[in-house]
Amino acid sequence: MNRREFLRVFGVGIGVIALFDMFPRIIRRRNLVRPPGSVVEEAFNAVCIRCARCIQVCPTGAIVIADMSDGFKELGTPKIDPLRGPCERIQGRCDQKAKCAEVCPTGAIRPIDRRAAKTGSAIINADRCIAWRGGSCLVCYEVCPVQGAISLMDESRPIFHADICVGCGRCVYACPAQPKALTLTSEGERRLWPD
Amino acid sequence: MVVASGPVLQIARGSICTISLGLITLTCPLGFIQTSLASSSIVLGLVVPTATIVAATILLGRVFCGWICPAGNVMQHFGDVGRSRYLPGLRLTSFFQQNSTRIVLLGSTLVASAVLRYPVFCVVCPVGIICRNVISLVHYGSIGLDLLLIPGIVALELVLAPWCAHICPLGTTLSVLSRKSTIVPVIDKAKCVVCSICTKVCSLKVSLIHSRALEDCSKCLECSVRCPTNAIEWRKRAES
Amino acid sequence: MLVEKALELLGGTEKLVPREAAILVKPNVGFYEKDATTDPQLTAAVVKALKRAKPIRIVVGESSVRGYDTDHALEATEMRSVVEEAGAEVKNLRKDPIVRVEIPEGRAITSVSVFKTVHDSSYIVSVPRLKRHSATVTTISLKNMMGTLPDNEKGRFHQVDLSQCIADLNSAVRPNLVIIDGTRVMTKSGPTGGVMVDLNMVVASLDPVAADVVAAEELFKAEGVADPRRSITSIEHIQRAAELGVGVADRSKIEVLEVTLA
Repeated sequence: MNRREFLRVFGVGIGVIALFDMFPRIIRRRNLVRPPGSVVEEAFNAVCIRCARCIQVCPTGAIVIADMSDGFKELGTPKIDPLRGPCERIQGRCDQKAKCAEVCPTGAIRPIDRRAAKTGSAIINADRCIAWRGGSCLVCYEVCPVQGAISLMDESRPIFHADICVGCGRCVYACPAQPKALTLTSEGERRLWPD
Repeated sequence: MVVASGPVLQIARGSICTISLGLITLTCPLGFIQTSLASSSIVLGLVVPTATIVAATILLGRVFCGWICPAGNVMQHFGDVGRSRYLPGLRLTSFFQQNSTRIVLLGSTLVASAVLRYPVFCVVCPVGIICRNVISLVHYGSIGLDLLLIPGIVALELVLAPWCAHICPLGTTLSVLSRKSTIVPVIDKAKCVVCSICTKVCSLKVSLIHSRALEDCSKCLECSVRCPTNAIEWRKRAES
Repeated sequence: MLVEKALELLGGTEKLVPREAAILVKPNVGFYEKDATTDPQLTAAVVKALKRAKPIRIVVGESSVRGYDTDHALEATEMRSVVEEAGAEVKNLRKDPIVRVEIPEGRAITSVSVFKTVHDSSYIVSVPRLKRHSATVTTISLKNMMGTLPDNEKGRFHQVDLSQCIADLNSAVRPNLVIIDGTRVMTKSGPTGGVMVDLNMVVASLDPVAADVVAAEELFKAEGVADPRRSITSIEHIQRAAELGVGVADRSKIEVLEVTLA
């Protein structure tokens, strides 16, 4: 093949990839919440081989596969969706050992001490919260496994403390408001640094 | 089918990108190379699983393509049928049939992975896409838009070239490893009637009569099964 | 021992439970922690006592708090192993089909979805752990009945009016017998993370409202609350249940037979 054909194939390829890469990023506004013990995002996207073993092994079903709207670079990688289930690294079926870290073959997700694990933080939209609108609901406070992550104002309205929250998402999953008053963000997440 | 049924029946752990059956773990060699390039390091956890497939390929050629890959044969079949039905007059450009073209394609994905810092081909790999969607379907009942890439690749195939033989970068990688594969198909000249059925049925476009592209042979056994005079044998390379 | 004695005071299970009953024992296995859930040994004692009434079947069932997996809760608290050894079937109700039940006297809701096992049971025994609760002040036998509801129904209760819905639920799906686990109780705050106090007490009754009133009083006394009986009048779901006729909340009208074992 001659140089022109080569450059044409190469150029078209790179152009297509760059386009796919940029487009979803404009749509998606928030960073993805990753499984506990994930390495920093740059390294995560580089080393995750998109094998989906973590999805298969997660006992709560919290880990799902990122799709097109999450970005081309992130497509196929695992992310946490609290609407499917909470992450039980802090309390529950993974409190001894994170099952996702156990099966990850590339080290994109690594074992992390339970006390250090933080996937992000829950945030509240008070306009949608039943308690903040005068009703009787404290489900988030009841299900939270971390003492102090949620406190009560006037013994009836929940206040969220992102610095204590570990991002398990149980509150988001359990919130009975429609639409949900809680979201899980990657705020304050603790990531590992690959050597 | 083995790969697709694995996650469904919970026998195997993982998808074709990395799969475990009991104590044996296998990894796509192209995935290993891309992730290592993207992260500027050698992904240690993948070294042994990659070595296993590499060893199997060096010995037996592109058995992965013939017996494990759920995507290639299906897509290529649609491509061939589609081309003969809808584009009968189309002559495929020889551009894609040159070996150098697919090597360049492979090289491009590797360079892209190193520059963009993520395993570019893993994202669009039809095998990976099928496996991941089977897993997501089984585990939480949904599939992704990335499945649309499959018909997209078939469409490309219709006008450009058959996927497995001439485009697939994973296939190209395995071909490179198969150059010295020990077992090859051999024609017994005494029985051969030069009907070219073997060439026609070969999904990897190996031309046995001209001994061309033998490294692409996936050991699917189609040629030897269909040969009307049973002229094809499977022998150690040294003897041929 | 405590369970046996309490049931004896009520007349004994052979007299209380009709012949050939299909019994549902509903303990609190809402969480993964033992402090927040009914003691398995106590539940097993209840099962053994109920067996003397020769029922058709005894099912110990629960659907945990949303966000907690019932099977894991049954395992982590050891409820499943202990109860199965005592000879009853343990059921994760969350896997049951759902049935609609009418609530003719309901004020907030007029019908409710419950699990089929609950609907198919002719005798229901509520076996809660005595605890404080952030939203309902206390969670005892009446609140415990929320474990018979599918997740979206639990959510609806919070959206509409939690206390009234609990009362309405108990008017239609009424526990026939209540045995309150007051061996270790959760004080100060709940339903998790409160201060555990050993009271070594069991409260049994055929009236869930009266049982809740008596048990709440003991809980408040253990906390050192100034006027326990007055505090109970502020527990809405108990008062509303009394208004619907589920039971008696007026302490002066409740007779308590008390026995202390050495």
